[in-house]
Amino acid sequence: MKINIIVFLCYFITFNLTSQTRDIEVTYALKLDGTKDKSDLISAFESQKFLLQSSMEESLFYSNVQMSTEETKNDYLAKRYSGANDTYYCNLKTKTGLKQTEAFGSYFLIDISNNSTNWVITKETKRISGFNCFKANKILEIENYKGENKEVSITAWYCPEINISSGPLGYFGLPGLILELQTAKMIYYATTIKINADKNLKIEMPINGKRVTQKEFNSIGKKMIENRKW
Amino acid sequence: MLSKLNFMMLSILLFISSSLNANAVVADPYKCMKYADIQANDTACEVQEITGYEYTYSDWYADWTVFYDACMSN
Repeated sequence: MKINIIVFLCYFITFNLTSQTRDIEVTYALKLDGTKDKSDLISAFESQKFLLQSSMEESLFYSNVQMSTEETKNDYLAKRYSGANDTYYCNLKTKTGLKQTEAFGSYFLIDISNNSTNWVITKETKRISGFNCFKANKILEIENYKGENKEVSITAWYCPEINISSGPLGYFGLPGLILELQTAKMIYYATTIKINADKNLKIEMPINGKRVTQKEFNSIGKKMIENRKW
Repeated sequence: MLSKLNFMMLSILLFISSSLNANAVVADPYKCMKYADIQANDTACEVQEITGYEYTYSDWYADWTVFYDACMSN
């Protein structure tokens, strides 16, 4: 009888916690792993801020830094290679994702649905902003500009207490919100977490751009390099 | 004597004028392409060293275009 009551209470508490979260708004900052000296380029990277808005069904991740009128080369590089120039949309129900990016003078919508798959969940835990988080890893295969296939290690710290399976840079599909994400040496970490702050949260899927797979997008880029103005 | 001086003055003026025009000539596209290649490769190395980011074709081409355009407009 006692065991039955305990089981019921556990189920009730878990159900209550998970059923309470409707939407979230998380601010992420960026830091670089293993950098001691703060060059101007590193400072430019670490001044990037991002916003993740997510409901139970959809999420949107984008830069939260206002456009500066005078952009230096370091600002340009930091924005471009931290993902601040792109918008990431994920449909958590259908497990599909899109990255809207500008390239070769037009917009593209690149399929990033595989960002939700092949996670390896570990038992390692740490606390982030008062939440207990679990570690998950995945390997992403990338064809670089030299035509070499490279493996990039992705590490996510997700929080099962917040049962929205989204995260930064269009990474999703884990049983909880990703509060910290490391891709190569870049670490995106949550600085503020607002739960159920916006009752009227509406997430709009980006529609401006040509839909392509990552492979098709690489192929376009390869041709552009080969055909550049020689 | 006066006409000889005038001729010399005119020659000097023509020389200065042609030198100024030579500076106003549009940048050499071939040199700018070589310049952009070097700059884009150096930038890719610098960014990768700091961030570990793997440059894709579109990344390299975007940087290359920025350097090429900047060189051509100078």
